[in-house]
Amino acid sequence: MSGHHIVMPNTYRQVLIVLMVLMAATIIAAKWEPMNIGITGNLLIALAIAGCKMTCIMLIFMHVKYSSKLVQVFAFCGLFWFAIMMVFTFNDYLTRSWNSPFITPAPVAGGHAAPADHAAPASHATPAPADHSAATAEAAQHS
Amino acid sequence: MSSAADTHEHNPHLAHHFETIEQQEEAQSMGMWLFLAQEFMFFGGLFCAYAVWRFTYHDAWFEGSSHLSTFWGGLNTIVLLLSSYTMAMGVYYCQIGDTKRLTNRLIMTLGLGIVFVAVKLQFEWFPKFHDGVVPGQWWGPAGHYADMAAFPEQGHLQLFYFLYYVMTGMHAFHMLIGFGILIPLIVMSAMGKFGPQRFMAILNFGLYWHFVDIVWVFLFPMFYLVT
Repeated sequence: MSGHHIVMPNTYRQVLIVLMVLMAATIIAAKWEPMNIGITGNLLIALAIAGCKMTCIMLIFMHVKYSSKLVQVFAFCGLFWFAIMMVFTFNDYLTRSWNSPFITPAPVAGGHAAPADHAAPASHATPAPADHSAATAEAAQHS
Repeated sequence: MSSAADTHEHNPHLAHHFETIEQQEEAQSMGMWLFLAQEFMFFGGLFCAYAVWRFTYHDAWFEGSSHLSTFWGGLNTIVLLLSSYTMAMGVYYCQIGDTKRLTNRLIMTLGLGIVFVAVKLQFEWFPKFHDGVVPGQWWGPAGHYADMAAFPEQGHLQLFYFLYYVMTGMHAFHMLIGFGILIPLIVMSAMGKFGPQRFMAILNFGLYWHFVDIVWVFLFPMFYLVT
């Protein structure tokens, strides 16, 4: 026999049941009206459930739990690089004034900047107080 | 190299450039995980594009998603999770040396995979092609998707469906590659090529199959359940 760990069928079955329950949960969370907590909350719940499913699959089905430290590091590095890409990308997108939910354009004389609306792209909600902003909003809308 | 290698009993499953069978297995696992990390980055670019456009055009995402069938998407999720389970059980039967059950589990995995792709084409893609839900010059939602034509930002909606086809399409393409590897594995398994001493091919294919499953686990809520 080799040194590789043998995972018992019962463990696989339990993981399958957990995965099915989580799949039902993600549909209920998305479609059942009392669970509707706004677009950001719904997305976070969906991603959290998908993350749990991924963790179950990786740890048990893919044997990461029983693998050597070196293999575990390799299994983690894909996630890590993906995190770098997402963080750097959104570091840019979330801080652009025309579509950021966090940054409102500076008020200009004769107009006032409306807070960005989460439910709609900010380019629709932002009034165009000056020529420059109007051009930017226009560009964001049609790009 | 040394005369000792000629005299002692050599494990036929151990390649000459490895010291021990454990070292060989770890190297094989590590190489597969490196490949999967690369796959993750490949899909990662698409996920990143998805995130940026969803963030920018949420209304279009909501409209586009409301026309995708949760029933067929959910059914396919169940099918794919089951195929991951049969694959994992295949690894178990290979490790304990039950090659008959291993062959059965591999065939089940292939069958469930084929069901997944068939459902996707027959009940999701083809009806959409028929009703003009095709981004680009043929865009023109009609028939079952006619009310989508009333959405003010058709370009944003096309972006949603562009990503839908590219991401689920790349996922389905990975499954087709999986079929191409599974079929030889089934033949080899039926010929008794795998067993407790030789299971890394099964284990590594299982890693690939589970990875494809994980991609779908994210694609399902991201496309079918935007609320």
